Amino acid sequence: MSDVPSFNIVIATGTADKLLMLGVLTQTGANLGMPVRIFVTGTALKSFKKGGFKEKPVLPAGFEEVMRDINAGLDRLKTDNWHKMIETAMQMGDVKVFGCSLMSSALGWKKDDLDPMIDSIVGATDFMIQSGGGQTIIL
Amino acid sequence: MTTYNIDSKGTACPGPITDLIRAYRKASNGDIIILQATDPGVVPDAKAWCGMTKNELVNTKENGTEYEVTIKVTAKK
Repeated sequence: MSDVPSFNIVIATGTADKLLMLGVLTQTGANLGMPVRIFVTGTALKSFKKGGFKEKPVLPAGFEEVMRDINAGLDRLKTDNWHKMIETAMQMGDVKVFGCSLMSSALGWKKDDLDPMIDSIVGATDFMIQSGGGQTIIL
Repeated sequence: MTTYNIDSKGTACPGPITDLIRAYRKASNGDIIILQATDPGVVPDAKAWCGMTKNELVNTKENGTEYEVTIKVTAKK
């Protein structure tokens, strides 16, 4: 186990702004040599359904116009999308993504229904134990 | 001693630091990494990274919208 404390992210809202920040923070944590542990729950799980990242994420209510401007700017900068950022982070460091068992059960989705980057479907207990001692950010 | 010239111009956060880390993984102590970028966060990010990792920030330059950070690799184990 690494001596570096893990950097933990709980993503509960699957809007475009949250997914973008998930990608940025995950890649940054991996850059810094931190184990990154991601718990995907709530409406965010939809983007982690198999192939879900190919669909345009929902724009945050009330910020549709600025989010469109941000997306246009990111395209101009040729910034990787959130999914590619996580893939890159997984190649560079110790990054694991977990699906929430409660939401998976509620939606009737099994691991095979989810993006291959999901390591496993776990409960909050497992995630909290795995992420013990590290900083946790909720998106 | 090897000098790594990294051109991250046109990429946005966290692209330049990701490129820096890629170069750092190939580098040895004593090597120099010169990182060029247009992202305005690159200088504070590189300074913070050097502080955390104990590598040496040799120099930073700013020329309008372009930035250059020079780092000497000193903390590889």
